[in-house]
Amino acid sequence: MKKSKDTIEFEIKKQIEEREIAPSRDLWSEIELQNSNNQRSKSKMNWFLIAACLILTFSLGSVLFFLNQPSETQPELVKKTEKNTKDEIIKDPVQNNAPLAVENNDKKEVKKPLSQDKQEVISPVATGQTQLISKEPLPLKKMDIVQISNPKLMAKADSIKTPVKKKKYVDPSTLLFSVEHKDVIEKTKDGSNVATTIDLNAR
Amino acid sequence: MKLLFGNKKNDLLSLLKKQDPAAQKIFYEQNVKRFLSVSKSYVSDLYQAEDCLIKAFCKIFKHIESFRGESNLDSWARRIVVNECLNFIKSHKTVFYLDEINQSFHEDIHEPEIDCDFNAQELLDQLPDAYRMVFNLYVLEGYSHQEIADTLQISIAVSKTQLFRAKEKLRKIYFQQQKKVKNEKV
Repeated sequence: MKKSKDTIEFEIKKQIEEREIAPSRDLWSEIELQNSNNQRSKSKMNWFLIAACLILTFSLGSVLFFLNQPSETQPELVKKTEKNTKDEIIKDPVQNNAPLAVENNDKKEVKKPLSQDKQEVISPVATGQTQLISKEPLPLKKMDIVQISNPKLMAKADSIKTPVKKKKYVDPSTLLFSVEHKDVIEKTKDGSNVATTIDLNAR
Repeated sequence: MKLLFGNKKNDLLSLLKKQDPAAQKIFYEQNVKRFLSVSKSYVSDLYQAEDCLIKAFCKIFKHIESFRGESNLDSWARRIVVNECLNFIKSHKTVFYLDEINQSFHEDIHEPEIDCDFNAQELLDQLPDAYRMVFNLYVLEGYSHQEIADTLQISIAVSKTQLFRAKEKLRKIYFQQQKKVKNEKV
């Protein structure tokens, strides 16, 4: 029987176990360098973690802080919506009632429907606001209503804007009317247009 | 100073756990030559073997706190060196494991008498990576086939096959070398 001592494997193991190889270069300096880099990266990671935790806590704290203060934040939102509605209101009457102003009617007549329109337009918004602003303090409401319900300012703004615009088109109904009643128009020597006395928008 | 004169392993271990640079250097100097021999038996190129050793020492110092003292510190560190070498081979080289062979081949191994005047490293260097890894783990590290299979993520049968082929190849290389020596003498 062959003993295990005689095999190649045993001889290889013996040689490898007994052998010692000296390194060809300075390995220790490289190990030291890598160790120091690892420690630095560890410390850096720790700092990053601390910074991230601080940022998170501050951001969460600030979010919670602002969420717990509804009295200051909500009115701003409502005011903004009101402003938007005001802008819409200012724009809309100009567009809707532009022909009225062009037709040289009395300013008072023009102002009244405008104010009525405004009230009509504002009222649904206002009712909507009352639902939204049910928790709000009363003085703010009053201020808003006073601002909106100032018809003179609105009317002035309309009166200033409307004359600047010129009629660039011929109304088809007036044209038709002028064609149909051509004789009547020719008879008037004053130069005043008959169509001006007829309020076509009153239909 | 205490480490230099007393050389107590427990003291060294406690200082290593505290990441003491002096203790680390002492541990390095005690083991570097032996570990380089181990590394060289897996990775034939000396420069690459040294690279593996650097990584292994860094891991040893980094994870020394996880060493529980259940086994010897040197054997624990040696295992890390071996694992580092295996990782290097896996990542830098494509290793092919041949198919399984019949059990009868394992038993029928003809083992002629050998002389001791051969260079073990020369023989190991001529083995393919797959053969060398299994052979070294089985013969040098004393792993079982189950442990080899787990470490290299292969089946036990493949591990056995690789070992059988490795031994066969070593014998072939050995006898070729012996023939050459005899012819030179003649």
